[in-house]
Amino acid sequence: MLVYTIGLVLAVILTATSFWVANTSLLWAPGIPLGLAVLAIAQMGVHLVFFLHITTGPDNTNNVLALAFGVLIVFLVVVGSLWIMANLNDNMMPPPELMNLHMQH
Amino acid sequence: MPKNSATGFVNAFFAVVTGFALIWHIWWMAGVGLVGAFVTLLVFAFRDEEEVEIPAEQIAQFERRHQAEVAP
Amino acid sequence: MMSVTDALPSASEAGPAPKRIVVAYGFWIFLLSDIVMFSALFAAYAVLVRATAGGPTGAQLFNQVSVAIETACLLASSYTCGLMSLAVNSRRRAATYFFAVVTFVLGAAFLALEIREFADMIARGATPQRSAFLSAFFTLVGCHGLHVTAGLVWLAVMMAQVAIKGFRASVERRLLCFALFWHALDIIWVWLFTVVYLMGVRP
Repeated sequence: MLVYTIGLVLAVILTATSFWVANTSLLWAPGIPLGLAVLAIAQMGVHLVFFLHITTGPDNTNNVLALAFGVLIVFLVVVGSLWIMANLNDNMMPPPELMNLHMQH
Repeated sequence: MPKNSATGFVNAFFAVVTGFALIWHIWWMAGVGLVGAFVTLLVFAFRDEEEVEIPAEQIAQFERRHQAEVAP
Repeated sequence: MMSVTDALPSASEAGPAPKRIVVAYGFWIFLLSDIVMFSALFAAYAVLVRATAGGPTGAQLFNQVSVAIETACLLASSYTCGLMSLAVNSRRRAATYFFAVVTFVLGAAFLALEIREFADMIARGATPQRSAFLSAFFTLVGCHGLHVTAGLVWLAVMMAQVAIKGFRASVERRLLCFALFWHALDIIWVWLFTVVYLMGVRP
């Protein structure tokens, strides 16, 4: 019972902080998305430990390994997609009008 | 071991019905398919006998018979 | 004389793990695959977030108060789901029903708010067909909403199972799986509201 309550309190704090970070003018704007991501990772950790009981006990090793693999795949899918699409964007031919402007010499 | 069940086959039938109906925009049939699939799931979930126990002695019997057959 | 080496049985001699642990592990692997599917939808959204095709942007559409209430509902429902798990473990039937109902109501409130948000957006012309950004948004958030709906149906069926079958081992295993599912859905929502709504209101 206590475990769940601690998890709830931590999650509420992290959520409230996220909303504050997103709406405040006190922080350097380019750093805000990273700050939000860090808070989300922290809250995910709180959920995993306090609600899902993914701890480091010997009974739990398989679950931790499966989670690590899942995180790897998620990372590859998201970062890979963003990287590939950004590269494609950069390397695509511009439309004809811009092409003419581009090649004026 | 899990008990045999026809659920997979019946559910697959309803899945085919649902897919066919969605492709051809026959909405009432899609509803029938989805409801049928769900009811099949409920029938499966509420069954009382879920497992079949195979006693260790029976496994030992299989093993002995097999060893006797393949013995050189 | 006992030596240190034969004090504990080796893992292979201890036999298969209890069914409860094996079932939880298997369901956890399924949940991770579900999260991988969501990550693909997230990736699509992240790639298309600027593709607004002259239509409305996230900053113009998203209402943070609504999102805050939705988040509170889902987080509270995760908490009450945890309390329900404790009630199941100690075989307290009335507490199980009570916390299950509270979890259901909070989940339904989340869905109602989300459906209202979608209806408002569509009424304002921000349909899934309007732009790639909106298509990705509706797919991602809508998929999460469908998962929540399925979870609520599952919870209702589980309460019927507790009523009819009591707290037998199979019912307890299924309730454990439901709890895992419901907590995982809250984790996905954490990422959803952070990436879509909080990062989306900044131009």
